[in-house]
Amino acid sequence: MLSSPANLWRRRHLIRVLVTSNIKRQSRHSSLGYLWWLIDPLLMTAVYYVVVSILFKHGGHNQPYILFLMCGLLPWKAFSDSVSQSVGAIKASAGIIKAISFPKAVLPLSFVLSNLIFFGFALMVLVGLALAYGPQYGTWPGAAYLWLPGIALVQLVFTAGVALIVSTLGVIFSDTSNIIGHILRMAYFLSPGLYSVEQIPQKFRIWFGLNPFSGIMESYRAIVMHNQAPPLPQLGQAAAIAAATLLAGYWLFRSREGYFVQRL
Amino acid sequence: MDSQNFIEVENLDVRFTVYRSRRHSLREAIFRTLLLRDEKVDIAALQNLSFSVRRGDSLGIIGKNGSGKSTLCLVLSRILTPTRGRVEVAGKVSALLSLGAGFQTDLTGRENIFLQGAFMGHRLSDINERYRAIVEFSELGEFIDMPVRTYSSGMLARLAFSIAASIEPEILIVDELMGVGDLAFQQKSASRMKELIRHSQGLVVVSHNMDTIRSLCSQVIWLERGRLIAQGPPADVIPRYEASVS
Repeated sequence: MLSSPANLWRRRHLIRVLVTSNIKRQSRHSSLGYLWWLIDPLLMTAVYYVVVSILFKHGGHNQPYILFLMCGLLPWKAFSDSVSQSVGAIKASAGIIKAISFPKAVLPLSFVLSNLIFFGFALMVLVGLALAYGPQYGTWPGAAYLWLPGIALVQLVFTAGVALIVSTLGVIFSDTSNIIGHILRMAYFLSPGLYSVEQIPQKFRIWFGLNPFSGIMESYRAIVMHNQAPPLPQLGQAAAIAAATLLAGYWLFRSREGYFVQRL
Repeated sequence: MDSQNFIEVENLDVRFTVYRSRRHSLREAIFRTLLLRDEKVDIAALQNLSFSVRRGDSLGIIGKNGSGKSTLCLVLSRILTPTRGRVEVAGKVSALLSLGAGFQTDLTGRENIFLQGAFMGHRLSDINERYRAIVEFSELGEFIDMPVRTYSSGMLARLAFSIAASIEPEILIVDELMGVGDLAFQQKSASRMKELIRHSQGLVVVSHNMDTIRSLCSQVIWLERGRLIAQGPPADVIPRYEASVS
């Protein structure tokens, strides 16, 4: 059974069960369980805050820097976890792929969706901190928050596209899993996660525009830090590239899907 | 497709590309493209296979290891796309090929029932309906809420069989599987298999046990190195096969 949109819709129950399985598995191996959904984004932000703000004394004009960091780090973590889990998604399910006919795209897509749910909880931490910074910096949640689902959708579309691409590559080249972590780390430093787009020299900005995460991160910042609508040209560009990535990923996955059984 | 048939296979070819180091790595891929050197070997698992089975008949597939029996099952179950040829099966196919393949060891038996059921294409409400019967048949009792990694291999086999056998198949494809577990469960699962077979509208069985084939199948095909050697009633084909082996 191939991963056409109709077949994926027909197997939506499978996607739902896979997403809940992913979530249960991740929280079962720790004594704090679901609490990690809240602790994890905080600890990760703390690490970058210590390195960038305290050690390198950087980030001064992006205040409060904690919120600035989180607006970049949280969507990135959802993306990067989805991608690194998708690399081995097909291989890890070799047994079931050889036993039952189902649209294989449910495997990477279920990782994308479970990470989106984790991201939702991380966003709640972010909003909590925005409230805490409210009295000092005026970062009160407001009407601009209505944009959040739209930004998350752009992020979801891009993540799904990349997940389909890497899960296909993961079957064809067994080294994909070795290299993907390094590529992701590099990509994070090339995205405006620790710095803002304004800090990039003008001549490089066009390249940054090609990275949907430039638009995505800056949009989250406009909303959470300034209660402003996202910068629409950048967001529009990010949405267009995300859509193109999803189409490319879908095409690649579908063109190779029939060979997965032979390769496993 | 002829409406009198439940399976039609015409000029079926299945070729696998096997890479010398099994998986080809990035380095190999780079080398291959640079040096234009081919490191892959084509293996023909099924070659120019044509046959049909009438409605009301049940098909047995026999042959030595590596003759292509399991590959044919994969193609008939629509898991493997053939390289060439036409394959048609009238009805919804349920395949019992390898049990418990999708178990996630960190999840409980209950969660795995839902996961496997969903892989098999059931809706959550359908699985809910069958859940009690599956647990009862598996005789797992309270273990059903324990992670599957704590199960013994016998318990795993019981759970896997109980889930797999909870279907109501139109066309049933069975690869070397009649009974699992300890002696008592073997009898119970074997009789459940017979029940499934009785209720199915079409049956395909792969087995090395000629008595199984004789008792279940009215048509037999004999494969050898991916080619069809003979087709006919068991009384004709099985003696010839047995003679060729001994």
